[in-house]
Amino acid sequence: MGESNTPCLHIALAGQPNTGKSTLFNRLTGLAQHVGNWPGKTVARKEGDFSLDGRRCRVTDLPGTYGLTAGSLEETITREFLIGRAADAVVVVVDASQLERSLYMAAEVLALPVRVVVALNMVDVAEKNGKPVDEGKLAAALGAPVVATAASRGMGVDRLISVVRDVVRNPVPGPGRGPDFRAGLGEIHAGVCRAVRGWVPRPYNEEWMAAKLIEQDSHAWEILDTAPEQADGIRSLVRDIDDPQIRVSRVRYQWIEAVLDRAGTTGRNHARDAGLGRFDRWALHPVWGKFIAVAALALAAVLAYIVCLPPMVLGLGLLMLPVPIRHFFRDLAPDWLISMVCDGMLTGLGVATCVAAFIAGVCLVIGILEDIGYLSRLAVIFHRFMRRLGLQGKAFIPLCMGFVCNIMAVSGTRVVDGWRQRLITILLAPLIPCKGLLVVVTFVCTVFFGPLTPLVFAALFLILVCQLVLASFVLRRILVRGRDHGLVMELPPYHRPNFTTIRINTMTRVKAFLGQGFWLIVAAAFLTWAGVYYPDGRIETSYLAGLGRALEPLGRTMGMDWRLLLTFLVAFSSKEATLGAMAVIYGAGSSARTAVEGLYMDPSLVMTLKTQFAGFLATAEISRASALGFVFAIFFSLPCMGTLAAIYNETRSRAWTAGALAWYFINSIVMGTLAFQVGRLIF
Amino acid sequence: METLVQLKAGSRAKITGINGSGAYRNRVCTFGFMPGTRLVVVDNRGYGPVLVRLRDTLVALGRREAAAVNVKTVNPEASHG
Repeated sequence: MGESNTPCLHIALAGQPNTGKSTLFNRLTGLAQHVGNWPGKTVARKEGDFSLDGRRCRVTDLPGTYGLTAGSLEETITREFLIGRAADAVVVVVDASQLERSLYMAAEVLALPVRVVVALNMVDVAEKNGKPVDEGKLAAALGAPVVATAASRGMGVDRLISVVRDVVRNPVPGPGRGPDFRAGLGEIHAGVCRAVRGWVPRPYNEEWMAAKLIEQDSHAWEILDTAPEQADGIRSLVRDIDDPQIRVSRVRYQWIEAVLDRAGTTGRNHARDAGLGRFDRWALHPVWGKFIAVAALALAAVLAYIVCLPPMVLGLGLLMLPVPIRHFFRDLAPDWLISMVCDGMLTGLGVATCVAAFIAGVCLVIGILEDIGYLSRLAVIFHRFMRRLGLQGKAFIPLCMGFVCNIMAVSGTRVVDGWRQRLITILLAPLIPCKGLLVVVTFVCTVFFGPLTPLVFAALFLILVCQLVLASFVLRRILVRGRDHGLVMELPPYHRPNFTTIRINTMTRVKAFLGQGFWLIVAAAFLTWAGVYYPDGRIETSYLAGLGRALEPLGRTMGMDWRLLLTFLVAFSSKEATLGAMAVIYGAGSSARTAVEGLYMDPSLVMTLKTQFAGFLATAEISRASALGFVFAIFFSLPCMGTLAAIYNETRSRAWTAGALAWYFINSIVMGTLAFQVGRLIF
Repeated sequence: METLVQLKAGSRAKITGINGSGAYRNRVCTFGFMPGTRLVVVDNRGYGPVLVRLRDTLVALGRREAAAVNVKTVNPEASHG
């Protein structure tokens, strides 16, 4: 590794999704990578280092996009990065097995003033499909160096780097590379070129700027608006053109067709491509496809559990540790110290470790599904259903995971295409009841409603669906502006999963969580403990109980006394902790020590005390109407601390995070009040 | 005027025009949907997304999105797949 801070070589990777760009990135950098966000943006920025002849080199993995016309955040970021020339050279990754479409990105990048090397990836797949591509001929046709690679096997990667180094050392000026818009667009282009002459800022050139303006590129128009005297004239010039985007794209595709022709790769066997593959015939079937999808998701869940078992055992071990600690140190250490270590620290660490295990499992499984190419099939299968909720088919996957844990749902939204759809999915995720919450609701229902429990559940889920539809409608129509392109999605060919890539991606995500979210959960657990322990170690007289009492007037509209309110507040720190807290609050709390003990006890442990606890609850003078109010308030409750942390992590916006908190807080109070009032009429 | 949503699985067609919003047109353009492009309808059951293959790629289009693509069938005898 070199000592200096500035890397000797900086490479950017660009390319369409599913071209193996990430595999190449991981091949180059291994675990020496870090994931952050682009400054002020919500798009992940992946960078990594590798060493070349003992000197440090840097790679930036640009977001995978189909083109560079500034329509989405990803496209704008990629283009600004390339134009800014932060990197010495750009590697455009194209898929040899889907060459025609994946060269579109090369057509866009070659038009920019940057040094380009094309990585002709997946040559092994192309060869197997009987569509071999000649590296040398393609390079001659493109006017840029081409290196054949099979990144999943590591083939050609070293050669790619040495070619990049040569290109950086001896830059060959590219004479008019990429599509020729002057010839392709004719008089229209010439007219706009004349109009923009003289004010196009560096490093853009007239030709490129004219093509982008014709294409209705929003970023190009922003630049144009800095020269208002020209803007109006150009606007009227461009307005009269029919199908401007299509014209510009057509020039690019005509260029691609000519390149393929010169490279000798045209004349494919089209008959073979007419139908669906053997597996797709089942996987995309409207009926069987759903069965396969459910089976695949179930299998994935089992696999995720197996994977996260070892760290989970560690987490549960941390949760169990208080029992022996209490036993041995009872007479050796002061009460507050034992309680702080056991309830304030170990519980938080245990819960956070379990969440980390979950994240690892989910990342791994989603990574496999995505790498195989099945994720987009799932999106097709559930598209019709999800569209009724105003969402994309891909949103099905994170929302499904929400039943296990909302934190996972929010981080799982990364599979959703487009920022607007993603934001909507993130904001809807907390509505899904997680398993911690379902345990509490089931328990309270069985105690108070007995045989009527299924009815209460039916009501809860019916209202949940209505809320999803309503919230999605409000978000789409009022809060999150913008337009979508609807469902236009590539179904990539199936590939064998590359476990190295999946493992590295999973580890980077877990590392990111350990750096931030993990400690937020630990801190939240500690604060909750402090809230119920101080000032005198009794939960009934604690600060948090005081807050519960202060809120009692508000709670009364929902039929909740301070104890139910306290439970409600603890649920904010972690849904899993709710039942334990209830057990403590209602379980008499005879001594200072037992009062806080078990606050974060695993729900399953609490369940073993069920009969005893249920007895306490039943005699706790809670009316059925109050219980109904409580169940509704908690079912439509606040997102837990971890979920809020995840929302902030994904949106990078305090406004949206605070907005979600406020929305769900009000929602929970309204639902609790309504349920209590209805309950008073019924019972 | 025929649109993509009306074609049965197995049909081969040529695109004659594209309607719809700017965001939608930008997206389909990058996939290479443009007047003159030939495509094969791989799956269309009368509900749910329409699957087409064009330019080496299998693409799923929502029904509303597919209805925005005007097409002309190339060889009708293949359309009863």
